[in-house]
Amino acid sequence: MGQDPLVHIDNLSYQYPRAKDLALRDVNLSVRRGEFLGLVGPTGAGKTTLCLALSGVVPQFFGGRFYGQVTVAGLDTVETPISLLAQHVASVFQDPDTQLIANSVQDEIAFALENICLLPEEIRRRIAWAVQAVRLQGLEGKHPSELSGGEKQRLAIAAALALQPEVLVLDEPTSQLDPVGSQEVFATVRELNAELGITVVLASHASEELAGFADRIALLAEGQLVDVDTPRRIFARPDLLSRYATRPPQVAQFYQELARRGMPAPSAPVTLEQATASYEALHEQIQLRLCEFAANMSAASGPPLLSVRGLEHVYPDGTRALQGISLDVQKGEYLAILGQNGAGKTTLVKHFLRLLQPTAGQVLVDGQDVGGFQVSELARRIGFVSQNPDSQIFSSTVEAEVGFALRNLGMNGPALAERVEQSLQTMGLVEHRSEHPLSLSKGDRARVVIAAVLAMQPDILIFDEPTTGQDYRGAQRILDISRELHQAGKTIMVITHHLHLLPGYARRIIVMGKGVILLDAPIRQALHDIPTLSGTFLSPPQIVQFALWLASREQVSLPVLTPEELAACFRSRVGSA
Amino acid sequence: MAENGRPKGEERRVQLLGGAAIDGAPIAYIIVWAAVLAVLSFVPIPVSAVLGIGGTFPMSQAAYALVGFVLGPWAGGLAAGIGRLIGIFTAPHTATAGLPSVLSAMVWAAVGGSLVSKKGRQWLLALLVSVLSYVAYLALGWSRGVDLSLGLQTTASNLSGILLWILPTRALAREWIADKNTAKLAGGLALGCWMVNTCSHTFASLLPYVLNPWPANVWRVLIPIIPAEQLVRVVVGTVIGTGVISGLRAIGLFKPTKAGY
Repeated sequence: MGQDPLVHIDNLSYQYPRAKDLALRDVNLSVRRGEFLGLVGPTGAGKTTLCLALSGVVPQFFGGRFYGQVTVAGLDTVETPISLLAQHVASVFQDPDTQLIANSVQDEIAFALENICLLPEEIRRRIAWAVQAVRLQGLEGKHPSELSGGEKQRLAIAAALALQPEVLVLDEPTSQLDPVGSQEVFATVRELNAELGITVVLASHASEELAGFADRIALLAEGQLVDVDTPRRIFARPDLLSRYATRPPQVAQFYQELARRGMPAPSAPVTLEQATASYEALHEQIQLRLCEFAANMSAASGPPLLSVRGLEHVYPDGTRALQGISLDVQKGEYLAILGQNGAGKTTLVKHFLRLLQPTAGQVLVDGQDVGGFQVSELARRIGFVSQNPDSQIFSSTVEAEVGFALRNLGMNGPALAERVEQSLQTMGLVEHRSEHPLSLSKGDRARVVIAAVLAMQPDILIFDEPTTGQDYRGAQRILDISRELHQAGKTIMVITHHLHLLPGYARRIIVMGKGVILLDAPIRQALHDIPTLSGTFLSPPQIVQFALWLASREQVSLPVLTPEELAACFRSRVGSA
Repeated sequence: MAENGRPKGEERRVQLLGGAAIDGAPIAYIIVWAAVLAVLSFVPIPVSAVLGIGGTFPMSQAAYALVGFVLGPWAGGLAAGIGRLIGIFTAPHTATAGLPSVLSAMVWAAVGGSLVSKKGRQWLLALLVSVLSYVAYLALGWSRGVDLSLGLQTTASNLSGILLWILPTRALAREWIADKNTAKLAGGLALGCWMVNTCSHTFASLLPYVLNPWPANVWRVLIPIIPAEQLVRVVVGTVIGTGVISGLRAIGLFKPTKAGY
């Protein structure tokens, strides 16, 4: 790694047009050539704005008031045209739809390369390399709109990687990816960083991956740089991280929990490798004790509320998205549907709402085929919060948006106002009621959509990747709401890649892969079933991986799901003899 | 943060998109509006005064004034011209006036932009074009047997636009379009669209009338049809404009320097 700073940020402050507050204030930071810098912090901390400032999009596209100086490869990002900066800085944005413009995967990757006048042979070579790096082989001819959310994000990354820029800026690039896809992206970016010397600036909530791959972590909060240091030093400060709604890696949480319980714990490790290595020393001071865990799955009884029988779906391009799915969901269940990008999860739930028609098989709600329901009638019974909240936003104020569907169903007057007020309060949106939904952050936009669905008071609520783009506290808040609704008798289904968030919420896990159900089991069994999870590009939460390593080492069963549960299985050797 | 609460760094002069802007409007905005107008060209509205050549006008006509309000006179004119040119080829079923309508669209949007311009004398230029077009249209009609009384009745709505343009109502429309209140915005758009559409209409009608002179007895039929047509344009322009400008304000995207909202 070179010592000369490639990126130099000097007293950077920035205010968006019409914004009351500064998005960034007095940020001072240098990034060395070849360094991998992680950006962490809660939603609204300024991570995205900082990423945009590196590519010149802030302020050259947005306008606003810009103070201080940012230089990249010696170029001032205010004075240098974006087109010139783009030859040094490649960006991958949070929402891939904002940067995909071509008619096929390979054209998308070629676009920027053509614009910098590379030879056709070199363009073809880089397309093949980039496609392989992000696991998009076989999809080269597909239109980007035909790709799943995760595939789109990988395509945006491939297009940026292909440029082989000096600085690669990635803003939440893996938020829509399955865990293995996420790790692969991190590994690919690390490989580019190590082998080609590309400097990487990556904003993410994925603490485990950042801890393993970043050289330094910058913690941002409320537009200010709180601290910048090695991952081990940053993630070893639970109070600081908690204050700024940032989640440390689970192994660090485990060691911190041991310390909280009065047991001797060394400096908290932040990666699985560090945790297993430091356990050897720890083993002499603490010991495992017998722990028992509840099965955590309610017994099914009565007729199913939702039933799927031999469901198949083939898309017009011939993709077999679902292949004979059969499933019963009881009233009052809380289940999670897991699976790799493109496993068929979203396709499955769209059949529940008649948004897609089965190629074969049927879906029954309360014993009646959904084909006999109007879509509006189903929408009243089944609330769906889609992966992209923007696709469900129609109105010009938050308040109007929350009441939109109800008004369409003929509700008005005090009843409508009361229902809207209740939803706004539940989702903490009262202060935003008069704002335009699209002016809010992605996290807040997701909450608007959930509020609108809640207002319909449906029996079944389906959340499709509800925690994408949310910080830890925001994600927990959404899941807490889902749990409250579950406790109130609603049936909840969550589609997610964030397996570490599920304990405490979901009780039943359905694992899908390539259009079939691979596993339908209680959460403790499912998250410890490594072969099944890896078969669909999922990996268990870091603490489960550590527990499995421990279980193997100590020859015990450790079906834990959280750092707290694992810490509870230990006691100090001092005074225990 | 400096002790007085001001940022420590020196404030920089911000140049938008590396200077890729026309008259203060980013080129990307011009392209987007041109695309919007091209798409609106597909929708025929069946309330045209020009019954003999189709009886419809493209919905894009209702948005020309709006493009001027949002981008300013020159950038708005350019966007309208590009959008109309594309629309002629992609939606020929609404392109009854052919290529001359490109020039009409440009003038139409430029007049819209001049209405919201706070500085300069562009409003005077727009007035000059409107008055000359109006006089030329009446003179052409008179030379083809349309007496002055009938001509004035048929073009009463056009004349109203010119009068409103001269009166303080132009400044009032500009003020309301810039107002944060949605009702005032809608009112300003309605008033502004009426002025811009009626002022520009005679310019847009000149060439079709030269090429395809409708007989004097048709002028009488047009007495109620022209205001109705203008009213439809105003309603469509106001509805689209209120939504678009509210959205643009809420999103907080950079505002073109000559924009009126």
